[in-house]
Amino acid sequence: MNERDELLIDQYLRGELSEERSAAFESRLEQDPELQEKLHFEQELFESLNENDWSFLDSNHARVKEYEIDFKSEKAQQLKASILQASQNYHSGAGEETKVRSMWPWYTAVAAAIALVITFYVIATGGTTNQSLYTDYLAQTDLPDLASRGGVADAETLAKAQALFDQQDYTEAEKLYTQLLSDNVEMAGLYINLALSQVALQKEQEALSTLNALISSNLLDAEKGYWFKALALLNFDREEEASTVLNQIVDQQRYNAALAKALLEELE
Amino acid sequence: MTVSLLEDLANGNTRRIERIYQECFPRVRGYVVSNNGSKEDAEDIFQKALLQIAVRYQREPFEIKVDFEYYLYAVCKNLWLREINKLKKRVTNQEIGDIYSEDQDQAMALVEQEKYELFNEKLKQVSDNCQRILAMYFAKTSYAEIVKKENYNSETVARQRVFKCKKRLTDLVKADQRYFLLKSS
Repeated sequence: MNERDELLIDQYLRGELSEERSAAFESRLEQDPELQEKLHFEQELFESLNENDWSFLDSNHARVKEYEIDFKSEKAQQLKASILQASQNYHSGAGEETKVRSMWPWYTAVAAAIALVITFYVIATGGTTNQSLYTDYLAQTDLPDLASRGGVADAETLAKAQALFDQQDYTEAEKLYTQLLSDNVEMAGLYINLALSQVALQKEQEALSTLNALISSNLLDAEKGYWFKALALLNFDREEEASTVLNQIVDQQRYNAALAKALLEELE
Repeated sequence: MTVSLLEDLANGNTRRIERIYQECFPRVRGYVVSNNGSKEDAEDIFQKALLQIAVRYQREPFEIKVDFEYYLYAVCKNLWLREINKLKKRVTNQEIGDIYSEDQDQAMALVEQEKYELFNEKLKQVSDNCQRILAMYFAKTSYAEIVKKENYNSETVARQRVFKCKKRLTDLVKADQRYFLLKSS
C-alpha cells in the first residue's frame, strides 16, 4: 500500500474528501480488492478503538454461527434460568441493601458501615428507607481515589487518609482530611471524603457544612457537592430539602442529573 | 479466586450469581442510567453480560487479567455502547438488530467483544507515545490539534507519525492468529 492510498483512506474515513474525490475513490474501490480490504481493516480499527463506536459483525460470520449454537443449547437455557433466579433473589431480598464486601472498596466502605445500621432498620420497617436509598445511590456514584493522585505535596498523608477511609476508620480519616484541608490542599475529593466520613459518624451539621464549602469553592468539581449534599440530607431524613437540591441538579443539568432524576422518582 | 468465580458462573451457581449482583449491579445500573438508559435496560444488559461470559467460558475456559468485577463492568459498558450504536445505525438505515433472533444477537455481541479485546490488547503493546497519538487519532482529533499537543512542526509530520503507529498496530493485530477467526468476512 503506497502512501498516497494510505492518505486517501485516512481522509475518506475522516470525511475530509470533497464529494467529487470521494466518488472517485469509491469507484476505484469497486475494482480494487486490495484497496477494499485495506479500507475494511481501517474501518474495523476505527470502530473498535473509538470510544463511542462499536465494530459489528454479521450473523453469517463462522464464529458467530458456532456461538449461536451454544446460545441455543439446553445448557444455555439452564444458565439463563439460573441468572434470572439470582436476579429475582437479589431484587426481592435484602440483598440490595446489604453490601458486605465489594471490589470498589472506596465507596462501599461507607456503604457497608451504613448498611450495618440500616439492615436492622429495613427488617424492622420492611421497606425502603432514606438510609437504604443513600447507600444504594452512593454505590452508583463514581468517586475519585485520592490515594492514586500523584504530584501532590501531601501525597503520603492523602494515601494514609484513604487507607483509613477504606478501613472504615472514619474518626481518624476525618481528622486527617480536616488537617489536609486546613493545609490548603484543594481537591474536591477531599471535601467529599470528609463529608462521607462525617455522615458515617452521624455528624450531620459538619457533613453539610463541608459540602457547602465544596459547593462555594472555586474547584472544577465544586458542583459535585450538590449531589453529595442531596444524598447526605436524605440520609438524615431531610427528604424535602434533599428533593429541592435534587430538583436543582436535574433542572440545571448538574453532575449526576440522570441519577438525581431516578432518585427523585423513588422518593415520590 | 477469579477462576473459581468464572467456573461457578459458567455452572449456573445461583447463590454465587446473586452475590455478583450485590457487588456489581449498582454500579452498572448507575452507568446505564447516566447514559440515557432505564433501570430495565440495565437489568437486561447485566443478564446478557453474565450469560455472555458464562457461554464463552463453557466453550473455552479463559483467564481474566483484571478483577472479575472490573471485567464484568467493562462487558456491560460495551453491551450498552453496542445498543446505542445499533440505534444510531438504524437511523442511518444500516440494518442491524431487530432482524436477528436473540441468540444470534448474543452470539454476535460475544464475538464482537472478543474482537474488541484483541484490538485493545494490541493497542497496549505499542509504545506509550504511539498509544497517546493513536488515542487522539481514533477520537478523531484534528491533525492541527495533534500538531499542537505533540509539538510537531507540521501536519505532514503528524500524519507520518500517525501512519507509523497505525502500521505497528496493524502488524501486531495481523500477526495474531485470533484475528483471522474474529475479523469480519
